[in-house]
Amino acid sequence: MAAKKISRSLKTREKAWRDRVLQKQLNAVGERKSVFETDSGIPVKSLYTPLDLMESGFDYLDSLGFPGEFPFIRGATPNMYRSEAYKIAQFSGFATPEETNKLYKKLFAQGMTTLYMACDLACQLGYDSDDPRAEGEVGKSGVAINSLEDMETILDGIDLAKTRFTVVTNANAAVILAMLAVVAEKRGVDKEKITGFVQNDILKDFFARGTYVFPIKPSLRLVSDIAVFCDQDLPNFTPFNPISYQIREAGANAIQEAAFTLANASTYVEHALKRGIAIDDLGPLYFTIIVHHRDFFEEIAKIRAMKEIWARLMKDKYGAKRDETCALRFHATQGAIGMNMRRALPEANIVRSTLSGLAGALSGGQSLGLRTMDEAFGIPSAKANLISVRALQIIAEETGVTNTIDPLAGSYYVEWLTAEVKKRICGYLDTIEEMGGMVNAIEQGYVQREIAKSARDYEADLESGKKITVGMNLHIDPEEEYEEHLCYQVDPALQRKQIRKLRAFKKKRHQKSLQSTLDELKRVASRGEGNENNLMYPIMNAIRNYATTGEIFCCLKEVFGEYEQVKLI
Amino acid sequence: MTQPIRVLIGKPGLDGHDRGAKVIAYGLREAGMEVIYTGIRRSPEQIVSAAIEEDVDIIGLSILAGAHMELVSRILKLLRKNKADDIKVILGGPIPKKDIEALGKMGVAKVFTAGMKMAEIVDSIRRLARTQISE
Amino acid sequence: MIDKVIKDAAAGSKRSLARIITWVENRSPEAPMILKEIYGKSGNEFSVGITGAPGAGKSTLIGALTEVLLGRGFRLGIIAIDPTSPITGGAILGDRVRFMDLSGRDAVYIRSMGSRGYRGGINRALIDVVRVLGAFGYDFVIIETVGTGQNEVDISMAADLTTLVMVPEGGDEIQLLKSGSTEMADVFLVNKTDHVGADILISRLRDLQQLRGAKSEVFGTIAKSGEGIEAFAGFLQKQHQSFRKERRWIPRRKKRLRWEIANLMEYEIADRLRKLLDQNQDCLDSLVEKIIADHSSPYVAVDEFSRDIVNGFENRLTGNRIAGKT
Repeated sequence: MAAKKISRSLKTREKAWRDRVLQKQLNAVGERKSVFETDSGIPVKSLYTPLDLMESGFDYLDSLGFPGEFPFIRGATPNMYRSEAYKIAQFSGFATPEETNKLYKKLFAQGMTTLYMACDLACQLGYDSDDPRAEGEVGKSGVAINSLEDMETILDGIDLAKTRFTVVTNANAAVILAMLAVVAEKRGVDKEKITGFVQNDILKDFFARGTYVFPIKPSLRLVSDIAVFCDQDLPNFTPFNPISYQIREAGANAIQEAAFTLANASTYVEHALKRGIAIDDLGPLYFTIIVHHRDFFEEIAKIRAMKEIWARLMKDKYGAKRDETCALRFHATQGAIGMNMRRALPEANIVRSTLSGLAGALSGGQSLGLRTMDEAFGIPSAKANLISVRALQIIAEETGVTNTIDPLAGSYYVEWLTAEVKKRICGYLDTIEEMGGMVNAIEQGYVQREIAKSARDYEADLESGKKITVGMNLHIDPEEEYEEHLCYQVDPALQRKQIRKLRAFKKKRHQKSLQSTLDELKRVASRGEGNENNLMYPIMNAIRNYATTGEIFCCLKEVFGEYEQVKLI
Repeated sequence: MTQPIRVLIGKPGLDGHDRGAKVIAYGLREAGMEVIYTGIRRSPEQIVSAAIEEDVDIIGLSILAGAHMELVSRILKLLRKNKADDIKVILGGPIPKKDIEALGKMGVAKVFTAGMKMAEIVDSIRRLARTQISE
Repeated sequence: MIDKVIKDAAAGSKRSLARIITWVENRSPEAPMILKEIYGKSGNEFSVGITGAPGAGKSTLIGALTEVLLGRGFRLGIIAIDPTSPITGGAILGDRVRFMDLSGRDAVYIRSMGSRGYRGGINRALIDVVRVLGAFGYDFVIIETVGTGQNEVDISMAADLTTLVMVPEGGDEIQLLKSGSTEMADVFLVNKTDHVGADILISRLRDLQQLRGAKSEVFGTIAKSGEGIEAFAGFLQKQHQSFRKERRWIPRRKKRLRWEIANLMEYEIADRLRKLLDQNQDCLDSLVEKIIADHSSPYVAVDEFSRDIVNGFENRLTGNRIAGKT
């Protein structure tokens, strides 16, 4: 009753304000743009008031609740950054295992708290460093990892019981996890103490990232094998890390990014449940979500909406009994190649990074990582990386935004936008469901077409000036005027060294026992999916006998075949 | 009728990010060109033999993962070996400045970095295709 | 120069072969000479149209088929057609994605073509390109195109045998059967026979073939695993053999030849006329003046011209008939 009264009087006052006060200025100077809308195209009004919240059905207890409680929108933990600031995890790794080990030791000394490893493309696709296909790629977009020996070198002097071990993997998730598990086993580390994730999110590769190897079905089998392995052997290791980053970078807008990421995650959960894992043993999942400086509030609204949708999916659809299972925990990371970083006046990218970091902190990320100012040129330099680490530390320690939990909650605009974004994400999720799930939607090319359309629209909006990138299509900074001296260059000698090392390594192995473990791997692979045929164990066995990444992939390719690319229409 | 310019858009190496390549492919179609798209993760040999069979005017490469020097030099060598070096090669990606110079010397006709407008790319391809014909 | 290109192509240079195809496809000034030159060497190729809706698995099928035929020692040309945008004239020729593993093999030549949308043009170009491939020693020429009725490609004009690829999915294919768009197909191929409904579809197709009085050639394959491909390849090989025995004068080729003559005449006359008009702009101007002065119309003026041309042409044509009879 009281609410209705407030609403009526607010409506009257707002109308009066629009007609008399606002209109006067509009008559005098008009507006800067003919249309104001979010980055994904949601129309934005000039002012939001409690009326908008009432209209969208906002109710504090129903819609938000408390931090650390279902649906965890205000925070995955009760006291959030007041107890523990977000972890800083800069994506890193390059050249040889030796170089990467040195880098990690240095980054930890600078205050980084999570190891966030990048493998080179050859390793991601299961080629050894000496494979002809790997020429020019060794150690470029991450560290080259060929064998157990390499993993031992990378982790040398790093305490696995105290370090969160996170790796960006694609088709190679099982191999990397197996290597970690064998290193831990050799060192006698308590399995319960091993934390982190190996991403284990292959579906996005079929429509966004492109680092698939096997067809979809056996790829999903590997995903579930890892989940079952974690469930049984590494209880505190996160089985999946669904990532939105690559989807956005492929051209999706914020809505599509959120929807497709959640749809991927649902697919993994459903498969894992079929394999007999209890939902409460599976969650909470740890996502990686992109945050952009571009449309600050839409990014925050996107994450808030994802948290709610995910929590409700986990509870209502997958039957989680424990509330904690439903929390969407996440690493917030920034976009780079697709839509963000500029080459001219690269220092301006620090501002973009910082704003993205702020959006990540205001969204309540459990860990944050930023791109570097020199990302548009190549592999980040050590200095550029340090600046990004410092930016995150400044946000945590100097700005005061971490003093209270979820400071943006209740903002008329943010809550209205969250409801709007949520509605649109759910629209996509419904469509995917109608198509019979994400695998079908990918196979029918629906997801690819949606993303391609957004990518083209985005490009067209930049060309027409509807979207602005300062320095590029407004206040232009000519690229020629800027010297570049920032990038890290991988020394070709290091690549040659890695290949030499691999060849020497291959010679000293016990051929017979190696071959028998590879044969066993093929046998298990050809037996079909099931907990009794979990591929993690034969892969670990092969790794104990010093099989290389390439050899393991060869066996699996022989059984599974390779995914065929789809036609561009 | 005027004959459409034929362009092969290829992604050599192991990099799978194809947003840029696809956006360019669509843009060139809008500009009236015939675009042969190779898909991702192609070897230099596959790209060159496709370009030859398709008799394209231009090969447009997209390389984002830093292997451009090795891959482009192999592609240019293969073109010369097959007496097909009148096919012009252009490249897009986050290419460092000093590499751009080196690539130019190697024989790359044009390098596009992030933020280049579609209209500039179209113009540049039209110019290159014309010089190829007049040669 | 043309001679050298032909010689190189005959010696196996794909670069030269590709250039010849471009000339032919573009109707460049070099094209008529080349086509006259190679005509006598062509004719032994057997062209197979593979058509069907997107997602039917045409590319996978062609890939598997190619492997089998290569293994039996044949040389193969593959032509993949994609629609040209009617507005911009551009096209994304995306089929190559599926054929990259075949790229670069000596005995295979793959070419993507845009439908280019000019009247009769794609069929004209297709016939010529098939002929060029035949002249340079390709035994089979496989033409891939999206179903019929959607563009100007009349595959049966260029192909000696047309295969319609269908998949058992959702019952749409039954509609397709009723709609009559299956008429151009000589052979039906049901792909993905591991999917539900494959048996029903195959038996419906057999009924249809019988109804049409054709020998019931309906194949079932799972292109992904290669199942059924050997049988289909064997069938094509047999067709190829019997065709070579009968040489080129089977009814379909006669029909094609008839179409070609008409098309070429039409094209030649139109082309020459255009050139003439270009060279004599002043005559056009005076015609315009005359129409204005006489209060006449372009219809009347053109009528007078074309009557003379058609009369002359008719005399030649019928004269030819009399000469042919004696």
